[in-house]
Amino acid sequence: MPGTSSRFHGQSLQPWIALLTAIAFSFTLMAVSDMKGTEIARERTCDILSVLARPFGIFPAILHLSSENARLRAENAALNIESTAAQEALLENERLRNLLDFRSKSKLNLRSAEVIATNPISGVRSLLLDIGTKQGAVKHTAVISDLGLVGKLVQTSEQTSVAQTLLDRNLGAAVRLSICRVNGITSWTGGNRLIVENIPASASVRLDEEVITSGLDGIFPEGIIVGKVVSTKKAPESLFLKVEVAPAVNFARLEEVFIVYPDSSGILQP
Amino acid sequence: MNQLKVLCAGALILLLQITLIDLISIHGIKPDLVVLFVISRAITEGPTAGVAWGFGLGILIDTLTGGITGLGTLAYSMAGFLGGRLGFGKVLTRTRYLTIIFSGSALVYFIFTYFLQPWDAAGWMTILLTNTFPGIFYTWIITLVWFYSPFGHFLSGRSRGQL
Repeated sequence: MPGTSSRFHGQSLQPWIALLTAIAFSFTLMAVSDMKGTEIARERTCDILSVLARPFGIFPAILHLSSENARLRAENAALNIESTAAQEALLENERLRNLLDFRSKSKLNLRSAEVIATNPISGVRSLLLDIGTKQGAVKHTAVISDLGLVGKLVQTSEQTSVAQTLLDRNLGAAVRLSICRVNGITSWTGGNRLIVENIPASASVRLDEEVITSGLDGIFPEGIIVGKVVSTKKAPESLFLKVEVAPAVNFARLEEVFIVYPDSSGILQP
Repeated sequence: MNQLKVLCAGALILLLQITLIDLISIHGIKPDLVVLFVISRAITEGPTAGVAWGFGLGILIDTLTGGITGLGTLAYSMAGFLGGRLGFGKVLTRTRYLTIIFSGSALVYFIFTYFLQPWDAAGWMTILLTNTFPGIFYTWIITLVWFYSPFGHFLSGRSRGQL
C-alpha cells in the first residue's frame, strides 16, 4: 500500500526534520546572539517574564523572613555600637585629611534592586533584577549585597537587568588579600567556592583573612568584601599559591542587591 | 491533559525553575525541572512535540541567561527528541521512565558544560565533578521524588496504573 508506506515514512522523518530545524535555528541564534535585534528581543522578553515571575518572589522572602529578621536584629545591635565609634573615627579622619590636604575618595552611590529570578542553566550564574535603564542601570556596573560583592550587570533593558554573579566561570574580579596586601583575580571552579590565582608562594596568606576588591579591574570599586580565605594550596613545582575563598554572599538566598554607581561628587546618596 | 493545561504546567515549571529552585539548591547545585517537563511531554506526545517543547522553553530560558542565545534551545530540543525516541509509543516501565529522564538531563547538562566552560582538562574535570554530575544526579532524585508523589502521573501524562 503506497499511501500507508509514504505516510509511515513521513511520520518517521518528521521528528528528525524537527530536530534538524531546531538545531539549525539554535546555531543561527548563537551566531546572531550579540546582534542588536536579538538583544532588543531578549530585553522585551525579560521585561514580560519579570512581570510573571515577580509574584513568586514572595515565597522565598516569607520563608527567610524570620531568620533574616533575627540576623538583622543582631546585626543592628552590633552596628549601633560600631556606628558610634565609626562616626568618631570618620570625623577624626576628615579632620586629618583636611589638615593634610588629601583629596577625599569618591563614595559609592547605591541603588537597591530586587532579584526577580535566577538563571536555571547550570554553569551560567546570573540574576534577573527589577532595575533597568529607566532607573539608570548601565552594563558592567558592580552589583553588591549587604554582605559583599555579588557580580556585575551584563545585560540591561528598560525595566530589568541581568547580573552575572561571581560563581559564573566567565566572571573574575580583581581582588586583594586584606592583611598580606597581595593582588589576585578570582575565578570559579565549581561548587560554592572561589579561587584566587596568581598569589606568589612567598605571600603569608592567613586563614580567615578577608578578601576585598582591589579596584584594579576598573569595574568593581575598591574595598568591597568578596569573602574569606578558607584554604591555600601549592603545587610542588609551582611558584604560585591557589587560595580558596568562601564568598561572603550566599548566592542561593539573594533577594535584594545594590547596584553601585561611582559618584564623582563624593556625596553618598541613599 | 488538554493542551491549555499542559501549557500552563509548562509555564509554571519554568517560573518555578527561575524563581524558587534556589530554595532547594545544595551548594549551588540545583535540579533542572524544565528538562524533566520536556522529556515527560516528549514521552507522552512524541519526539516532534518534545523538540517543540524543548525549543519553546529553551528560548525563554536563553533570554534570562544573559549568555549565548540558542544554547538552551539546542540542549532542550535534543533532550525532547531523545525522550520521544526512547519513550514514545513504548511500554513505559518505571525503570525505563527514570532511565530516559536520566539520559535526557545528562545530555542537557553535558551540552551546557561543553559550551559554557573553557577548554582546559583540569578545570573541566572539576566542573564535571562539582557541578555537572551532581546536577544530573539531583535532577534524577527530584524525578524519583516527583514520580512517587501523588502527582506523579500529571507530569508523565499516564495514569498511575500504566507506570
